[in-house]
Amino acid sequence: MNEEKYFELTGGFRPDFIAEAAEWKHEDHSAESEIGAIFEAELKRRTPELHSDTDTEKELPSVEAAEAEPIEPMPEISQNDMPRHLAAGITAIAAAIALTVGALVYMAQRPGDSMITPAGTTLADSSILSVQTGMEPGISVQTQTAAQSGSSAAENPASGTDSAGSGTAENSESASGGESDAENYTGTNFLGGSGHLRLIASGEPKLDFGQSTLQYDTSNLMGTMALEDDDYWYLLFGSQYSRISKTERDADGKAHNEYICQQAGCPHNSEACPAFQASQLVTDGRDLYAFSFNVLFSISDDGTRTPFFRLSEDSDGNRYRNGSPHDDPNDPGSADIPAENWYSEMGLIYFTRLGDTGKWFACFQLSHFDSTRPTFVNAVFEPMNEKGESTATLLKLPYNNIDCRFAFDSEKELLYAGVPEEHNENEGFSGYLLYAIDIHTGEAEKQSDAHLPSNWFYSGGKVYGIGWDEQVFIEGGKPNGGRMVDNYGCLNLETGEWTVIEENTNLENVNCIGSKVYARRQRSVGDDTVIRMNPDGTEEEVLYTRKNRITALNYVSEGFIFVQTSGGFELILNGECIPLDFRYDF
Amino acid sequence: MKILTDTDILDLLNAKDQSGLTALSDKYGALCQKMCMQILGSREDAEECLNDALLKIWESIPPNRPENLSGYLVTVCRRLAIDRRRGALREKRGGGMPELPLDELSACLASPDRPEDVFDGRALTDAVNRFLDTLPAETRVMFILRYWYCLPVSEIAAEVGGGASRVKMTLMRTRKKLRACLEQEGYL
Repeated sequence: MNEEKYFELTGGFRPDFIAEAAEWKHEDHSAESEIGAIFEAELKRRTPELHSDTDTEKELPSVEAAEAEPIEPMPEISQNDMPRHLAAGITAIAAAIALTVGALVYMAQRPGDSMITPAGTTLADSSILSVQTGMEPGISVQTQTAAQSGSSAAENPASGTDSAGSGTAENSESASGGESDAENYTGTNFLGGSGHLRLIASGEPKLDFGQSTLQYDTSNLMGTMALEDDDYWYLLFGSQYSRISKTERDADGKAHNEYICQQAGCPHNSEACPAFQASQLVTDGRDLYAFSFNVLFSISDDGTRTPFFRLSEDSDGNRYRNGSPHDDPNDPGSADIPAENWYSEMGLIYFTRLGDTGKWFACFQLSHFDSTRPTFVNAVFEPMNEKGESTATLLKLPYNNIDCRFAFDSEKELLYAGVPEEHNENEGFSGYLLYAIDIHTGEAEKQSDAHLPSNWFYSGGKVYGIGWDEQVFIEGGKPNGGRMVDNYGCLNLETGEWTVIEENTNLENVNCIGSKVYARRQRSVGDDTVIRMNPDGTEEEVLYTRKNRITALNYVSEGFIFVQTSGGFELILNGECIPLDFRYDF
Repeated sequence: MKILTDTDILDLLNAKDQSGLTALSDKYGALCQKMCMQILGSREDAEECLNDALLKIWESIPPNRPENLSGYLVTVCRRLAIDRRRGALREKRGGGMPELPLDELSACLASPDRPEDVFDGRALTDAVNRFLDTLPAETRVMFILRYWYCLPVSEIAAEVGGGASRVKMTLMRTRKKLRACLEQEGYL
């Protein structure tokens, strides 16, 4: 399909579909409003005499009469008519209608305690009181005793060695020039705040952590992360950069975010500008870097940049250059470089530290002057030496294509990643398969023929995630239609067997910090929670409850939860909910 | 700040009140810019496109009174962006043009027996529209944001909430369903 055909095809999409998408953000898609609309419609259907426009005075049916009538179940509503999160069943609708909405449940803490139990501790170290369901209006409070809070994920590496994390306790000297020096920094940093810039969470704007698993969307060339220093929290997502003061509050006591650069008249086009710096900022899951003009720089708190890596040659002897193919006497041998290795622009797609091996994995996208299709270089590399030399070890991936989720096993020194099953231009591919990649040789070995579930993570030699299973309806002993349901389960890599842990799950944003799984769960309509559990589903703890729909867990680490709800954004810091006036669009 | 309804904005535009233009830009400008950025690859070009679209709307209302203001704006914006992209490519200034997600869509529409003409004609678009009509609203919105607005998955996730992986998986499943639907209709 060429561009003209594409525009012709898509240009014929129905105008109401186009408008629906444009108006989506501005509509209330909360569970309450959707339930309310369904309930209202059904109420009118059942009691038309009470909803006549012409006659408003009707005798209400007596309670006795109502009780004498058999109660009809609510009508079946197809999944197409209901938001996805209501697929749990009709009883959920009835329960939701009965709920009193609008109450906020705080996770309060006793003095000296912390809300979050550090990863690796068991429930013997903490206790959780039962959570009020919110049947009564008002605020219900849950207290939890816990061991002293762990610091941010960046400072508390995962303890599990075969979970999705680096798993090592000792941190090697960072590229920024020494861990202790960095942490002791007290001056103004390059984002305009004071003190050392610390990574809170990184990757996609969902549950993600400051560890070596790092997920980027393929089209997001710049980093997505949450940072903090002594003055601010910084939220970087796509091209939206904002900061929240740790101390300043509005007249009504709310925290608020503001654009990351508050310099009047700033054109945002130099390293003196926090927004410019943020636009080039990436992280390997622990340290910060800047990617600029096809070079990856390590960056210290005061903004000093040191060249860290430049793609110039790979393990197959391929050489790369920026510019158009040419023969430059000042660049010996440039005429011999294949045209496809000349690039007009290089983008950094994925970038992650591989534990403490002294190696990093990166995916670079090369744009070319004479082609509309970029090429990709997936490689493991070491930082450049004093001479500016570095060789990238190419990953030998089928189709040179890798998904945005991966995990590093520091004991085995294997990088686990999803690779598309097929690369047939006509048929596309049907799913991702798990490959284990030797970071020293680049050799990639398929681990299973079973498709990876979505939101997958690797722990204890198994792959967990939410798989899309078919639920077949049986009528009269015969299959009669079916539907696809989301089950949380476990994929045995050896046998390819998929075991369902939780059928028709209401877990979302599932991800793993160390040995624990963090996710959001909708216990009932309008009652979303953030939970933590073992990968096998045991020992589930409720970390945060919100009497509203949590639409996304944007950034999470121990002690820092930033969520998006149907009522706006909220910041939960060590158990305290910070009222927040948040703009998401500058 | 209260967000005006489209009807309110339309009334302001009809009265030639410039606050209507501001309100329109505030409400839908960001989405339009994101779309134009994906088509043109340049923030400056995207801003110019949006400004041109707003000007066209200002000049056309009244006498026009579009039934759907948001759809009107984004459609005008998209056409301007496509025209600008075509011009840049013709003049070979398109070296930095971003890639459109056409490979994703063509992969689910391709047929070995009908490699090219499958993309021809109104019939295919009508079939796709029928399919889109069967989808849950959020799924359909994701599909439209991806293939009409050309937004990257991360931006779509920001629009609809949730993570990019969810969006990516939803799109993949939807493309599979679309293909199955077209096969069932005998189109592939």
